[in-house]
Amino acid sequence: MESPKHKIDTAQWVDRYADYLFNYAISRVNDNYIAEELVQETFIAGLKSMKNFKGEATERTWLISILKRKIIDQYRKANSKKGQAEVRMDFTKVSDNEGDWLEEKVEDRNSLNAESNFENKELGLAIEICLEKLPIKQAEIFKQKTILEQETESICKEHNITASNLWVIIHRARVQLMQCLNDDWFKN
Amino acid sequence: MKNKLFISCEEAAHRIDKAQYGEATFWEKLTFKIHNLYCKLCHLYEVKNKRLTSLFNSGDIRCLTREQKSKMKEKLADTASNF
Repeated sequence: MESPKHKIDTAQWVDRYADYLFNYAISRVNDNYIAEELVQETFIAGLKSMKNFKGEATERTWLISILKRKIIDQYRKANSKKGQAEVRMDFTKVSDNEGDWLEEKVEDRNSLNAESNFENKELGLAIEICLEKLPIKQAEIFKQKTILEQETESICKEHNITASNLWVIIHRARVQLMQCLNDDWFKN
Repeated sequence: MKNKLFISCEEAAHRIDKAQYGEATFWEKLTFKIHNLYCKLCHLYEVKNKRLTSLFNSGDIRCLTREQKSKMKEKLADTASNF
């Protein structure tokens, strides 16, 4: 499981990188199930081609490069199923809007928010990188509380900790994240 | 001791964190607000904390559940064992 120079601990992959890869994938395929499958396939492909990892990039960067190829394959698969691009237009029955309906159809509403969407996705990945720097257990509890919005009681039960332990963990995570985002996100 | 009007910085930070998750009581909010009136550091911590919460809200960030991760680990371990 290890090359002479670079140790790869695959047991840690899921805890360390799954969420980052999942966010990366979902921002490109917009489907939870497909994104999850792509992450799984990425890990398996990574495992199979571990010998190719030279350690020139970080493990995360290397896994992302595998995921990118998986995403491209996914697009190809989807396109080959479709056969050809479809253009769907909804010719509504309301004829009162004559004159401006085509403009409305052509206008890409999303493009108005494209910049902010892109920024949000970038921010999401920046947050994930910062979360990756937290100790695994701390990151897991923080994500359960903050992103999955689970109840304090259920998290405490799951991890066998007291509520005050949980708040100490949350506090430490928040302080580290503030520092990390201050260094990495706001300065850029 | 729970009903002390003046609290320590440690306690204020704890209550500020809870407030970010909507879990601070009215009394807890009142006491850390009073604390922040005379403690600039805790006031700054509250400002940064709010900012962090808004970043999380605007960052479109998701994560996998524990069950999803467990399944992934199992599949990965299966693949590794077949090597």
